[in-house]
Amino acid sequence: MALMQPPGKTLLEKVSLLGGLCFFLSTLEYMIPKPLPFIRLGLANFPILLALDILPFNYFTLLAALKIAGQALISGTLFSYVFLFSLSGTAFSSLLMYALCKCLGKKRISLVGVSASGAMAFNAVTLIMAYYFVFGKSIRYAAAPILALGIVTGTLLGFLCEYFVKHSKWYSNPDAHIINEDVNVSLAIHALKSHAMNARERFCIKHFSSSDLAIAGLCMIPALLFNQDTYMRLIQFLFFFFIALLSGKKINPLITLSIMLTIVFFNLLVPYGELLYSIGPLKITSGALLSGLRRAVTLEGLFMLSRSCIRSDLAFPGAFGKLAGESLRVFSRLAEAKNFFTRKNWIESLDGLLSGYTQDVSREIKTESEKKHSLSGRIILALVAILAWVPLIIGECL
Amino acid sequence: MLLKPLDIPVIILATAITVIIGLKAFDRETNSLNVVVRGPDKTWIFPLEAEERVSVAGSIGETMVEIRKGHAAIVSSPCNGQTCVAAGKINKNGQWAACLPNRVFILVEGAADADGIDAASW
Repeated sequence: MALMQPPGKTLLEKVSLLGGLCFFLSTLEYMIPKPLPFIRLGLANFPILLALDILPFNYFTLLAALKIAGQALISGTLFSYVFLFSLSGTAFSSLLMYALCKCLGKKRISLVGVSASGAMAFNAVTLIMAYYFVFGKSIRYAAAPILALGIVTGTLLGFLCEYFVKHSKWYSNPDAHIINEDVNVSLAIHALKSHAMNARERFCIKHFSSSDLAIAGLCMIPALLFNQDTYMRLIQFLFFFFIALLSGKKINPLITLSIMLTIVFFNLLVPYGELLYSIGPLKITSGALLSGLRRAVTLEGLFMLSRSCIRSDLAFPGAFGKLAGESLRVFSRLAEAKNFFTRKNWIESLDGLLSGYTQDVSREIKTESEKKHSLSGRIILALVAILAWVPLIIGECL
Repeated sequence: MLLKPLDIPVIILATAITVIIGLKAFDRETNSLNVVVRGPDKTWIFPLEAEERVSVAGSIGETMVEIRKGHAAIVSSPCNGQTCVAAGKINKNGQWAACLPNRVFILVEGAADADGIDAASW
């Protein structure tokens, strides 16, 4: 049991438990529509803030890495710019929060201040990335509202964490409750089973292994990024949008369109090229329009590709993969119990779930193997990958 | 009490940084200047820091406008006097050059006041 296990193992179990909570909160956050894909309310930082006091630095960074990987898998953004934003933002903000907490101490700064600074750091890094990859100079107009939103949500999250820390029985003695051993990476597939799958998703599970899908996705990324022709990139985006729909992913075309229009609008704020129209003070120029369109289709194209090719049962290799697999299992248990949460007793609910995880004995979920695939599935994936290169080749020939 | 002594200063600092960034974004001085190139039929707008060459079809031929290293200039034009080419580079708000025979006009414009003349004359 817990107290008899070596400290390193106990800590690893805490990491996977908090990692599972990160995944769960990432999913909640993912369900909330946002005008830009990289804007975050920061719900998934809740476990990171909790970990500041109960995990040493090595394990804390492992948890941050799990959060990044989990978000990429659950939202399917591993192959998109959103992953880069998440990676850099989370890495920087987590390190800053850890440094603030350890250097200033709990007597001088609470989780409220730490969380607000973390949100500020995350958004600052994200804005820098957005400057280079999405908006260019016009990001300056969006910077203040995004930072302000981050301070508000970061502060609120800090209050929530402080309140939880003060009242949680689990947090007061996290070592008393730990999860079992006998971890199986492929248990991650259980996360897939925790929601009702539609026929197209079932077809994909049946015919494509997650690793084959990921390889196919990797083969298609250069086709989009090396394509210099904006209109051909638009065709590739439509193609990726189509395969994301075919693969059964829930995609809201209105949200996709509004994100793309937002990106184009911000690019139009810096006029470049021939003047096409003037709408009041807004000058629509050909260069800015093309640049906005190019960035919008690239960002959303990668997003659609990633959504199609990254499945949450994709196993990372090695020890980290094991840990991610265990966190995904925790996540699936939390997802199953989500109706257990109520606004009134959320602390008790969360406490109960974290503590009660020890008693969870559903260890026997041996999956249809992660390696499952069929020859026809591989042929389909190869054809899709070839089709993704066609617009690039046509663009080069024209 | 949930809050600790450094919480409020941290939040105030973050808010102050956000306000400064917001003010800077819409600050007239920091907004960059644009070069407006007008021909008889079309108009182009580029940031002054762009690197571009624009060929403008005018009334008597092609005028070549170059935007380079923070300056704009008419580098060639089919007119007789070549005064537009001799006008050289422009880079200040309100400066302009024109090839009147070819009906091509270039202007540096931005939100910033040109040399603060208006304020001084008050």
